Amino acid sequence: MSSVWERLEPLLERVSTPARYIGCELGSVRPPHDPANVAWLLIYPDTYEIGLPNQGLQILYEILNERPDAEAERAYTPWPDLASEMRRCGLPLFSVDTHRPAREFDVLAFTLAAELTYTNVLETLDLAGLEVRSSRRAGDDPLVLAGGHCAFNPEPMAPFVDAFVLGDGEEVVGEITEVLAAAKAEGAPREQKLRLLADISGVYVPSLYRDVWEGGRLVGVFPVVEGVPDRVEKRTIADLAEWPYPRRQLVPLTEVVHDRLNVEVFRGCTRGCRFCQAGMITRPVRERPASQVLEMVTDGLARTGHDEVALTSLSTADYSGIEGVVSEVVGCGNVTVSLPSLRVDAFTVGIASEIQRARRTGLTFAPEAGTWRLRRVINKLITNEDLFGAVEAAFSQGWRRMKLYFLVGLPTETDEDTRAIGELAAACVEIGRRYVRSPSVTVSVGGFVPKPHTPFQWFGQNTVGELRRKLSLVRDAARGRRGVEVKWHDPEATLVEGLLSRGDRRVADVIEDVWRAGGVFQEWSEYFRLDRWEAAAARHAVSIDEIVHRHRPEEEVFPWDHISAGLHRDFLWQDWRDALCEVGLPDCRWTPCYDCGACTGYGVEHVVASTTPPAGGSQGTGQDLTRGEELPASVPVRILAKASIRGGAGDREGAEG
Amino acid sequence: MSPSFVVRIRYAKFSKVRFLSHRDMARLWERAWRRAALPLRYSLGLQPRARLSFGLALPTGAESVAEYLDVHLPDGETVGGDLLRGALAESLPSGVQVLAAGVLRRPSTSLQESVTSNTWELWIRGTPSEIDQAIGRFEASASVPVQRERKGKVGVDDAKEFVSALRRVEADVVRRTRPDGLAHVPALAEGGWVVLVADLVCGSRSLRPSELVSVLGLGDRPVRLVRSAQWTTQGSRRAEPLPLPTAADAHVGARA
Ligand code: SF4
Repeated sequence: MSSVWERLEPLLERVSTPARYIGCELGSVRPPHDPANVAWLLIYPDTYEIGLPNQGLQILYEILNERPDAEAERAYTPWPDLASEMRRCGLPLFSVDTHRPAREFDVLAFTLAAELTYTNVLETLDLAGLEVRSSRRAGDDPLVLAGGHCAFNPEPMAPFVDAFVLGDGEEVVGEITEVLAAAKAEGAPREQKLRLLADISGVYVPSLYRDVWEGGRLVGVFPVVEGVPDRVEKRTIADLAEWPYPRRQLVPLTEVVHDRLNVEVFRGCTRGCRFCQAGMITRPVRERPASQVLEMVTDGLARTGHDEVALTSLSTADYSGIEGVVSEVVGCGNVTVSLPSLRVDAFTVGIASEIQRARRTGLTFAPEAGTWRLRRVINKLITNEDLFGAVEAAFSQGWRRMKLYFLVGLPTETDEDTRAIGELAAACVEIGRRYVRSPSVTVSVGGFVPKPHTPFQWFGQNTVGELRRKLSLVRDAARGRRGVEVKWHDPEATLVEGLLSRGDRRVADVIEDVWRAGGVFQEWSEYFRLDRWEAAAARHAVSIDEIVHRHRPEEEVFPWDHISAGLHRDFLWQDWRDALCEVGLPDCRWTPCYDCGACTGYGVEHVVASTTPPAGGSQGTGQDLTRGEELPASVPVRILAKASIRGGAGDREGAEG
Repeated sequence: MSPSFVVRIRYAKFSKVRFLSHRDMARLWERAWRRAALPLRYSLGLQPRARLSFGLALPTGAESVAEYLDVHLPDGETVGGDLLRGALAESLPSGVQVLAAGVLRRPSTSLQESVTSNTWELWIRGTPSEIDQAIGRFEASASVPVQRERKGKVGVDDAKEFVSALRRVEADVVRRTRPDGLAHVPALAEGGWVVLVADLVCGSRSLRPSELVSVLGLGDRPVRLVRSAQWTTQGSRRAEPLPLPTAADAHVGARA
């Protein structure tokens, strides 16, 4: 077993937070190295603090290490202070488990959870001693794989990654291991390994596909070899109950985000929020049986020593019988329960009082838009009364602080919608005053990025200037309101996120340029610099405007059209039209199927314990969708958006300036 | 009223976990204690906190064979040595090792207040004569100024006020005096390391071992720090907060 620990140790004396690099977590393994095994290095391309809690990575780590033919270790991107020491001393990227050099692994597998980490993938490959471009890597270099939500538009990263894995990883990592173990045993060359991987459902090997352009427009991404699919389908595990992972959640020794026991109660979401890529690409809903949730909570608390448990999913209050589960978990002892993703219409006094029986953490609600009209456009079907009811339930049970999430730059958004964000927050504070002294509401505002595989994929993102203007509208509306605080994300970072999420294969050159210019850790404001991205885009004649701000016509080919999350394109288009007509669409868990494609194509369906929607009238089921505020008098953006859809390619009038 | 006790633990911190910070250690102990399902006293209030109190912080990256921790037990509860030997030892990561533990009636002063001096080993790259010269220079000076910032103001202290003993000791001798099984702390495989042992007084003001290294003029060399003892003053004698070879019934001894 080779370890770089002896060489790393003196460097750790000189860097910030050296505990990031030592491993030793409870739940971590130091697998014995068997040359016949397929050795996976699972990499999260951000700091340890951000990457360690990633549940997807932890699940695969455990599943792979249980296999007799695999071994898996972890790595994270070293912070620039260590990276420069490593380059100075010629020390390669290493695993934190056994401090084995990255090149000794067969597979380097990246989690792509956020677009702004893309340059860190290149940084990490370079520290590993690999060429960043797949085409330049040699026969016995490790294969570079990537999965995670961002893999649903793989094209900007296509030249750097040997194979992308789409959807749930639990089953497919085993299939990949078997193929690679056999290929390794017979000494198959790199090209052959890649060709074999492309035969696995859910695996996209970009070098076997080519992007075809005509008159500056993408015609499509097509296979260049026989027998690989025209469209690569995502993987879906049918039953979460068969995968009670992580069973041995990692317990970090140093401070990380979400430092608590995390138990996934269901996967997928069919609330149908039109801005939400996660909801669209993870359909359908698959619930974990309540008994298994309780077992995972009880065992997990005893094993880890955590005193906080988070019941995770895209919308935890939707879990069938959530009150019962929360109440039993609270019964486990001195435990804090957090429900990190709460729907306001399902948050009841019952849940509020159950949570507060234990110690309470902050509460976060995500109304996303300031008015009922705009919430129907985005299909976040909660009314102001729903929100006020949830807020009142929380304040009445003793909470004093809460956080509200909003997006600006949504399709058809008017200034009234935007200003309403500040007013809504102020109204929540007023409700709080009836119950507690000095209640406070933090409004957290992000710029909207239209993501692939959503109904909003045709929409042109707001410019930085427009997002800034809207942020100031929110701030103006909140000014002078005691108890309201406004926080926001940098619109410049939102712009780059838009470029990377909807970009095509040409954007790879931009990513590489930015990385070569030193642009690492772009999620971190101290390292983010928009001018680097603009300069790189200009150098490669990539128009940010065209990729980010342009509304797309119905027939336009997207760079991700050869990637399938199951959703039918005509379903998404119809949903986009419905959005513009402010038509809300109830949740398909409790109403008939819309044939979006997510179940039908894969032979799976919703696994829910309850046939009745959760308390509070969930996502339009049984709700009067016409109720709410009056329509605003003028909706200029909305009309322009419609016009530009008819207008066709290159019509920039639609985007606000 | 039922009596209230603390469990006082002496432990070692070495190897990879030496890079954990003081805060990290606090979190680690709290979780280990809960994993071992041992009783623990919580503070009252909206956000109850586990009642653990530590001695003086160990600098991140330093090793130690003499760290102390008081864990407050709920009123009327006590903990047997077998639990501390078994469940607790198993819930600690490698590199954190319980050396001794005893149940005391809740002390009136905290570990922080009662510790009056520390013994440090400075493992320095160099030759014995270089180190001897540095010691000689230090001892021959009437005062050794050390610059420090307090509340934004730069002041000058005399390092000599904080150093009560300074000597060079053979590495083998140092290793022989280690608690059971810890001769490898620090785990320096090759030779070329010289050990300087310093007793540093602590109180409201003190001298950090890294500051001592630089006033000795050795700041540019690789140095590894090991805290080998903490001392309290009992009358005119100094004593360990929890002696190692103890007759106390809760003594758990060293782990293999
Ligand atoms: S296929 Fe039907 S039931 Fe399944 S997620 Fe889509 S709309 Fe819902």
